[in-house]
Amino acid sequence: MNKELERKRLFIFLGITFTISWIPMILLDCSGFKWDGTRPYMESLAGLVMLCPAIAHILTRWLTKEEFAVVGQDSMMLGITFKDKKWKYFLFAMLIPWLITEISCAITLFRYPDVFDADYLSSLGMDSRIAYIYPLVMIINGSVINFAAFGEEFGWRGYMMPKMIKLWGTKPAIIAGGIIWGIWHAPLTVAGHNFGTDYPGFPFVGIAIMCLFCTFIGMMLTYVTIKSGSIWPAAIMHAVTNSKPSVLMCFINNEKLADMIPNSLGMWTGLLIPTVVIGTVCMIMLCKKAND
Amino acid sequence: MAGLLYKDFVSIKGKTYLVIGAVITLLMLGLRVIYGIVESGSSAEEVVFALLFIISAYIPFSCIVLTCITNMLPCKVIDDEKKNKINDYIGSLPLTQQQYVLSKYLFVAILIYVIFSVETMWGVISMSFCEGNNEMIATTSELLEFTVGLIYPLALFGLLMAAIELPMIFLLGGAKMQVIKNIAMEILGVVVFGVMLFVDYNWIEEHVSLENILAWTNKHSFELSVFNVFSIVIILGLFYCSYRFTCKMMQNRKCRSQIFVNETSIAVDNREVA
Repeated sequence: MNKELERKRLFIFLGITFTISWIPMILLDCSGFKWDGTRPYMESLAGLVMLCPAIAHILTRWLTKEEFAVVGQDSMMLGITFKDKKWKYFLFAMLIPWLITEISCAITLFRYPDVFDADYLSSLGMDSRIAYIYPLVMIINGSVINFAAFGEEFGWRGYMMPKMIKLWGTKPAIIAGGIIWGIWHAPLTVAGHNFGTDYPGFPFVGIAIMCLFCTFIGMMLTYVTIKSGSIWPAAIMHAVTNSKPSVLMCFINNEKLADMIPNSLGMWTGLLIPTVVIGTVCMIMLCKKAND
Repeated sequence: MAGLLYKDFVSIKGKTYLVIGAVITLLMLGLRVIYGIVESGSSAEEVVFALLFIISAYIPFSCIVLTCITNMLPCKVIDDEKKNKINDYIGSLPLTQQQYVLSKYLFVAILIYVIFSVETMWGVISMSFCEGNNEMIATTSELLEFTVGLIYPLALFGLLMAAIELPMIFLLGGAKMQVIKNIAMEILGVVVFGVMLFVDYNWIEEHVSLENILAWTNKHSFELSVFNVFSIVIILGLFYCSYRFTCKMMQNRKCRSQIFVNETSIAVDNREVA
């Protein structure tokens, strides 16, 4: 392996990704756009930057004359195989986000029991039975309609992580990859994505917490990618995680919760615990495999 | 497998369509950026507004056209192979019949997924115009939501039609399949014409109004949600069953001798003999 060439390719990829993603994101920030739920169509448009890592992957391979192999060594990992029990990583990718979201909602309800509202869906004009199929709806939607998540994973796990693992080893690669991924979100964090704008230390604390989340979620995503030999489980896991599948979420009154929590950052503390735990387990299993 | 998929991609002029799709996407994004910076009431805004109407009309039209094209492509790909005598070359490759059939099914599934993704992107860009400065554009948001909402069912419809047509294309060939499709469309046309001639329009006006439909959908929103979600699972299941059915029928038909000598590849047979 030519380490110098691999390092050059990695930095070209990162350069292209950050350039083509940050230009529109910074333009949006300068236009006064705030990610606060009041402009859902613009938020969807901003979400299209998720395709930039995929575009950067293709451009980097083309510019550095790297092969466009679909499967195998140094490939784009686009193949899907269920042999050797690899189907269980696809299942893992679909179900773990559900588990994490349910645990996070359970922690929220434990800390703030007054936000439980059995008729919350009815008060929004929806059929309350939807609560029981909501996780399944989100999992199936996430598994099928995942082209945006695929865009990110095709770049990060499909190109960046294999290069970093080859250069620096598994543990440093996953930590560095998570921090890079978190920093990549910085312009959106400045716009209020995920954490809002009303917390102390805005936006630097938000960027730091995003790096933390991305590192631990990156552990899970890298685990399913390496074990399955494909980026599709990571794309599914990413899409399902963004969909937030949960039965308990349908019984949490968000307006009451917003009144109880001092700032929007507080809503994420419940999510942090299961993410850190499951991410750490995945990291241990990956490092064990690397040592073997 | 990847090679077969790439061959089919090239045979449908996939690179050209990819470039056209990328250019359209970039144009729409550029338009959105311009719309974001022009002043309200200016002539530039009027130009953007006119272009937006074209885009809004374009999306449902392109959904329907692309769904039709997706249905025609499997015929074209398999017919082209027979016409250009690529079959003989494929028969010499270390591929089984099952892999060949799988490549065609995968190609159609990937094509529908890519078209659905691109259409959704165009829908997202178009709908983002509705949060700009122009009030008239904002009022088109409901229409745009409706047309963007068509993309997903049309993609499922395309997948369902592929699941029905692919076995027949493999077994009967593209030309005969086209004849069957034409006959089916003509029968459908006669049925629709007959219904239009003899239906009681007063009954329809009384019972099938927009208000009644909306009331019905509100009443059965849970059932519709369940159907919406499980329809993709059912259709993917049908697609897989169609693939298994095609493999089974190809094994039993004489046509397999046109492409493959045995169920296993010639290369495998040679290795076993050695």
